[in-house]
Amino acid sequence: MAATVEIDEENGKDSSPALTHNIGNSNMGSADAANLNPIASPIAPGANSFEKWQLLHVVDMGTSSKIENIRVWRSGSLGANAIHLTNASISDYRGEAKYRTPTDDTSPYAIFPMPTSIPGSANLGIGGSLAGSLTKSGSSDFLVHQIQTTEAALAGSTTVMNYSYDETA
Amino acid sequence: MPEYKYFRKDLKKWIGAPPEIWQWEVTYEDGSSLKQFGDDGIFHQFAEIDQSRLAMFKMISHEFPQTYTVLFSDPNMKLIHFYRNIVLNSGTTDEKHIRLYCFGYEKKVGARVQKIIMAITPANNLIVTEDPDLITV
Amino acid sequence: MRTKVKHICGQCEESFSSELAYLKHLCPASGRTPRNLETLSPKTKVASVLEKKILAAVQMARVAKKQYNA
Repeated sequence: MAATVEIDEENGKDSSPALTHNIGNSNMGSADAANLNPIASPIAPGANSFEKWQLLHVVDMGTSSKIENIRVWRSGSLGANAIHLTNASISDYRGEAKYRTPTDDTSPYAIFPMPTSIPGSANLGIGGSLAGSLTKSGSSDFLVHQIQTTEAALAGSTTVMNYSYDETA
Repeated sequence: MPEYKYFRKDLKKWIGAPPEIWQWEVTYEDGSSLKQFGDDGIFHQFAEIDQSRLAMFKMISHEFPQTYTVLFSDPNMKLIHFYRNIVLNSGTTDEKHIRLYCFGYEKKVGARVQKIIMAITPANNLIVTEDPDLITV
Repeated sequence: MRTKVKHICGQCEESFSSELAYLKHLCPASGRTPRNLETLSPKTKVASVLEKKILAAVQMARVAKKQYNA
């Protein structure tokens, strides 16, 4: 049986966070919440979305022995006056980001452009390293990402997140 | 449909191991073989392959007629096998899960490491490459 | 030690006090527990006729390589 993998999201104060397992969407908006309704929580032009703190979580290894080489990227374009930033990076990865209360201030973690095509190698670490691996149930490092807009930004763009990981059976 | 099982040492119990569309099977120098999904109903992990005695590595399918074989004619060839899993449009109604069955070998040639990886795509096409990261979906 | 975390199922939105409780719940939205189960149907395969000859050739090649590399 292949490893069972889900995407989780952590929200709330770092003193009492909530971890939503197997999220239904990665919609970003003006609230710190999983499975966001972007219409109910729109990003005002000139503002940032709340950071998303997400994890690739191996719920069960099944018959597999290792998960590694995690890559994340976005499909779809945002429009001219918005950028999507992340802590994920092939060449400048800064190690594991420790969870802290998500902010809609400019994120100190999400500083690299989110790739818009599949990266050439791992860009999200495990245990703080892009060369890391999971050999039992556990999670990747946090994927931190945020949308930042200018006052000229317009509503209406739709994008999706994609993931890739290697599994040794 | 035969049922396969695998003993999880950490859980101290047998778990079900549903068969893969593409499965590996190795033949050793002495003609004996080891199958990922054994005829005895036991699932074997890749790590159980004794690469020091490996002569042939095959990817076979019970659904399709092709068999892809790598001949290990040089004991210095190191077998590689993994699944590349890709999740597209995550969290949407259009979410897609793609699995590339990747296998091949690497070998030291002088100071360099030569690597050949083959990937079986969802359409059962075979891609041969030195760099599986070039395979995009 | 990590701060105590509330666990929520992203599909049915039920809350749990532990990850184990989440993993054990039968999700009414997905119809299964978080530990996924997949099944595939195997069918018959066709064996290679030349395989014995190929194996013999590989055996000889491996012996030659071992002697060369020794």
